[in-house]
Amino acid sequence: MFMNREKIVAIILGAFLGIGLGFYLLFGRNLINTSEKEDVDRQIFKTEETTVTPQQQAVSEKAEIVVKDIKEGRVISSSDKYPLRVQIPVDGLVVVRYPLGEKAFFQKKGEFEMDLELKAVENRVKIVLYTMNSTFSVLHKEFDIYYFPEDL
Amino acid sequence: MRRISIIFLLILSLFFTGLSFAQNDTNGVDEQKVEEIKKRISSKVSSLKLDAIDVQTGYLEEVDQDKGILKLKDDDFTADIYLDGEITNFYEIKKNSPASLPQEEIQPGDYLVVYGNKIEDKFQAVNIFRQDREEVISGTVMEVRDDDSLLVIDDIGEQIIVRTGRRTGMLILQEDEGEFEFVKTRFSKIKENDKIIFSFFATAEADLQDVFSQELLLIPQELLEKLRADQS
Repeated sequence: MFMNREKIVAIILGAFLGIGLGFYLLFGRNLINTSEKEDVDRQIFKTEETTVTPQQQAVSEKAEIVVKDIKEGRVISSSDKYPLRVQIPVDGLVVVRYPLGEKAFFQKKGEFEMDLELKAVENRVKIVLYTMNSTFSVLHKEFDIYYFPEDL
Repeated sequence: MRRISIIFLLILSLFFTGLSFAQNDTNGVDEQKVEEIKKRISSKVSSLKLDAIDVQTGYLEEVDQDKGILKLKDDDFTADIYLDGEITNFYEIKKNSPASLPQEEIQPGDYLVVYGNKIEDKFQAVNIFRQDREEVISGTVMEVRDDDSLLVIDDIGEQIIVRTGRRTGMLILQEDEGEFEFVKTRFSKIKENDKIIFSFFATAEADLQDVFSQELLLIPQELLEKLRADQS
């Protein structure tokens, strides 16, 4: 009879242990998973915040060389050729000097386009306009185009 | 009665054990979701590597190894660049193509182009490139000197001594029926009042009033006068 009581107590304790273990597995792990998920969600939220980069294009009204799509004197190109769009205020001889070459041509007032071949990473570009009147003898503009090859 | 209680408790414990196993299955699903989310994060990081967010340039001032920060300096600013051992790579640009560079080899004074992500005030580096900083200046030749140097006034009025040597590429602009072409020339062909565009490699401590030219382009004064005459 005494042994029977011991067995019963042991079984009851075992049952409580089982219940306790069940509760831990049921609710304890849920809490851990929730905190993991919150961490991951925070990371996603943070990453998405950084992808917002507003593009602005400043066009000056002054008599100067205006290079379209260039922000703060620099632009990043997605390929090894950059389609340059330039506006000049007066007729003149245009010289474009860049790391892989140089080009010269006579250009009427207004906008012109040309493709620039780019070397890897930093390309310092200089545009000089030698005007045909005495008011603006020389106008110049310089900026950087960055090209990062995709295999890096 | 006791048997009933024991059986009841056993069933109850088995019930909760079963529930916990069932929950384990659900956790398996959650773990899958977590893995999927982690993959999405990884993909996001990859896309950030591909899509240039920003570029920071400057001369290396110092490396703080403990904090994993490079300090860059240029004329009017300083910038802290944060490194990440897992994603930040170093390269050197040689002959217009990048080659891998051990981080230990970068030195104070090196010109660095950093490609990465600007998060609030932190610039997180993805790729860092060491290369020569090329400057290009336009101006007018004021004096041709015997030591193969030129006194030039640039287009903002500064006087610069432009030295030349064997390594200096010299090109002169020619016109033929409205077509313009730069062709090779010699120092002796340069004359006062010619227009000039020259390039040189700058360093952190360089004297920008006295430079060695890598390449110079000449636009002869006579050519400009001819063009003006043709237009008028």
